[in-house]
Amino acid sequence: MIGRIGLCRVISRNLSSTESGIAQKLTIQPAIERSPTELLNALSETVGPDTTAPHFAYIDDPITIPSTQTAKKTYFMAKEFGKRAARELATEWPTLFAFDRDQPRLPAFRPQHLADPLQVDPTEKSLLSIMESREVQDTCILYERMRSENVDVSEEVQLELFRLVAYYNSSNVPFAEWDSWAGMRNFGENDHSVWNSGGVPDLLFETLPKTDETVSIMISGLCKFSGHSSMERARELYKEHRAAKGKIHREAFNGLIGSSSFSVAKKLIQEMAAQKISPDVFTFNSLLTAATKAPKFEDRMKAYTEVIGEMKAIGVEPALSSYYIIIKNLVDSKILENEKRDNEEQNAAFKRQLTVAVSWLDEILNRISTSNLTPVTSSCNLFFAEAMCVLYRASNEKLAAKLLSIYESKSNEVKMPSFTIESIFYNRYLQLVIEQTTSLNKIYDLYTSMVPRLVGVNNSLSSLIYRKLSVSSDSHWPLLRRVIIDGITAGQIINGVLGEEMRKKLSDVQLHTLGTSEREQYTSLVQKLVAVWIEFSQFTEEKMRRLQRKLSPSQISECALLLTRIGEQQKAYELLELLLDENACSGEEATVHPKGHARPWAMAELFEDALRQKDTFGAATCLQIMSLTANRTKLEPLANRIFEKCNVNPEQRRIIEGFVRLRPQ
Amino acid sequence: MHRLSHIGTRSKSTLADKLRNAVGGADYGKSKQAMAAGSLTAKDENGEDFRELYVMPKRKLRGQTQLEQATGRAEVKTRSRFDLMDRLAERPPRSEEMDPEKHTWSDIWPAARTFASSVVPLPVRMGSRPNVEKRAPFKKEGNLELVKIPNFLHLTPVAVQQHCEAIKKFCTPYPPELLSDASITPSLLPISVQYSTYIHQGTNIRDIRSRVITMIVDVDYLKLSENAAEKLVRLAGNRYNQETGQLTIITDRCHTRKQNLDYAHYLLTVLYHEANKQEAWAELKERSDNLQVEFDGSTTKSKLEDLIEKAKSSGLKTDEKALAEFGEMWKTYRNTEETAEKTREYGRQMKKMLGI
Repeated sequence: MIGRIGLCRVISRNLSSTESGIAQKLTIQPAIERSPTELLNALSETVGPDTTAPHFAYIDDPITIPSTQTAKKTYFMAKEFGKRAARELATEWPTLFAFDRDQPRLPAFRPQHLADPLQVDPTEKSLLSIMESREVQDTCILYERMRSENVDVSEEVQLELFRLVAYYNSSNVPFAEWDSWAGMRNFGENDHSVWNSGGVPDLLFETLPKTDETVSIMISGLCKFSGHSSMERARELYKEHRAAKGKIHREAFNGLIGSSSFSVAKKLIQEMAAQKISPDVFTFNSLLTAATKAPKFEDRMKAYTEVIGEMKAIGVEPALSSYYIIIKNLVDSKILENEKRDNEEQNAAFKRQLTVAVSWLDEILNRISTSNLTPVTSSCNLFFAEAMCVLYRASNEKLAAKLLSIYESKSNEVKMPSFTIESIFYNRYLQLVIEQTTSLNKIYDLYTSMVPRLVGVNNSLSSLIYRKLSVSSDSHWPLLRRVIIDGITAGQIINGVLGEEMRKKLSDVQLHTLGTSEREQYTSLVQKLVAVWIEFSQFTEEKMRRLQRKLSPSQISECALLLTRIGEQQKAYELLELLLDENACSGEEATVHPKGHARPWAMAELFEDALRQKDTFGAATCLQIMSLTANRTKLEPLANRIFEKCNVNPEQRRIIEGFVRLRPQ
Repeated sequence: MHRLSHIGTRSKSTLADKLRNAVGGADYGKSKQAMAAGSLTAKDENGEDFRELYVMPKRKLRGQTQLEQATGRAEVKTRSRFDLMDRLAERPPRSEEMDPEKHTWSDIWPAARTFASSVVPLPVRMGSRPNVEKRAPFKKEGNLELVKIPNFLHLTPVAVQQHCEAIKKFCTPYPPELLSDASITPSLLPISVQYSTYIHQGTNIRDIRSRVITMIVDVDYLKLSENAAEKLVRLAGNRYNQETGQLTIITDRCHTRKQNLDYAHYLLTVLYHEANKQEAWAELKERSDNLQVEFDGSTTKSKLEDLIEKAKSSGLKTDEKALAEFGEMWKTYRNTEETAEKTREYGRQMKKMLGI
């Protein structure tokens, strides 16, 4: 609660005094006109995006910030389902949850159950109210009930009902149109449904008189939920209606065009022009969809050029969804994937098509960068993601940066849904830029600003960063640390390949080049990693067996090396002794993989380290481990080195020589 | 007597263990030696197993384990917990990677917010300690005291400057006449109105206290005659401040602020007109009705005049003008709070007047 004291000096409020008013005149400029929110808008302009924060939908705490895409979905849906459960409880027990202190009254605090179509009065009024609430299945049930009880329904209401059920195919509103629950809207996926024949729409179509509107609605519905039989029926209906000198509406034409081949579509366009119906953006989008059915690249290119030319000639501005259809379908899908390209010819064809796609994209970007972008259809936003995918394949960083600036500019109102499509967009952009750059600082800045806010941690991204770190000549400890920590939070630690990368990179770090705080970070990171790997290997109980990830000998040797680097000699040797312990490798309590062997370079370094510290027992352990894979000739020089460096008494010397002699040649 | 025969098994010890044993001394690897000795099974003469006498169970007793736990020498067998993946999902605090070169604080903390230790990159500590030298106050992670208090991290000087720059375009210039000489404000704008607005975060946005209006009028600028001014003061009662000459009207008797403001103006108008009215019975005013004790007509004056006459006649040098001065001082003395200084002044003036 904030109190603000308003202070104003009132000028001459007509004091009827005998003296003349105020001697001097004050120059007071009249107040500048502003709308109620202009001040707030001006203040909000001073704030930019916080690139260290998670998405604002999540609680800002280290434990609740999701690192991967699946975690983002889980957390967001968990919140949403909680809200829905609460809403259900409040609906079920209204007296317990009604909040009476609100001024003015807020209906959100008093949620109501949906009207049950089997319980309400079968009148037109209740039918209309259920139609308002967009519960399509309930309206169908109610309508059928009214028909069975012989209640009269007027023609206008029937027409309204027909419009509703034909648009939705007698099923409830699809996820993409839910307005209250954003999680279901973004994450829910509807399968493409085929037209329900014999349902309420067909019934209504029969009962209502066949006008232009009803036929158009029927054709549009049949085309929207297209299947083989529904398309046949749509075309038949069209031919019948045309023969009866009827005119169908533009939406029906759009539907028919979209589901035909390009040549048939062109004929339909001509018929449309003959009936003096002007095409709009949706018509051209359907034309483009028809053009995508051509199997050959050259045909498609020609068709797209024709359509775009036509749009220009008529003066219809192409929407982003038009560009989306073009870009998505330009390159042959068969040769899109690396694996599917077998021979040189296909590779050459792919390169050619990709070049064309990129040059078209360049032109498209030039055109849209100057205009204000507003969403025309629901697939407009997909253009950005698709374009970024194409640019990624072509490794074109310049255009990608341009695309990003267009997307993020103030004149663009077309936005992708945050956790699903936008993350693909940003993931592709991030991987593209990282691949093309050599500066580790730039990679670090970009990575920290995008992960995990916009892009979830994924295996390909982490592998890419590790590759970049190996290739680069200088080291970047903050970047390495960040990637490893992200890998831990994303669960990459149990991934064998990435775990090995982590260990390799950590052992490549030159400790003497790090500062004191960085060295502490290194120490704690190594300790954490080793502790986690050991904990994963110790899930030996029956119930937890599926979580267990046994330690492999290479893993043990590398971990031991890292531990010696940070000075934990004792722990390192405890770990190494697991390799020699039979109980650890087999049986119920096994924590070590029986197959595989220790890394030679790691063992060599450990051996040298033990010799340097004149640790006979450590050196002996290393020797024994190395003997598991080496033969006598390799071991003899090592044994000699032990004799040189460490104090061994004759008894010990004899034991070691005997051990080496027993090894196979 | 039972004869015991030992059956020893070769233990699988590592090379390092063997080396250790070879160093000699009973101190090394006692347990390993015990292992090397092998397990013990004994049979008696008839080839039957030795039935051991039960004295104590072959495990650590409860008291022993408790002692070990208490002293910290217990061998705790660490079990892996099944929520390992969830525990691993915890990220490091984001204050670690904040860099003043790359991030602006006003983006990170734009509005008032409860303290979040993972976001604030400052090593603040808070908590009361009996001996601060020995133990520092508690750190910020999980510190409820830091959460309870209001913080102003959203109002850094830089942020305040940015806000000011942003809303400057809505501001009009202050009247330059008042800027150059602030003391003329009361003469040009003699009435000042104060009111409060209350903002609530909740379902009810109304606050009844916002109806209160305080109107402060500088009475000099009403340009009233002496009688009228005195009448106004009498009518106003304790709303009039003698020292500052200001009339304060506080109204809250109506429901809305606008109504109260109109009522305050109405009161002012009525006061003004009433003060200007001269009633017939005002003629009957006597000296004892005065708001302030006047020197003229007081017995003190008449007595002093007599005294001065007598002093003159007896030849002491007296000062005529001093009487007027004394009169003023006396009026101040009688009508304001008595202080030591005023009393001394009284004495001085008296002496001066009498020529002592």
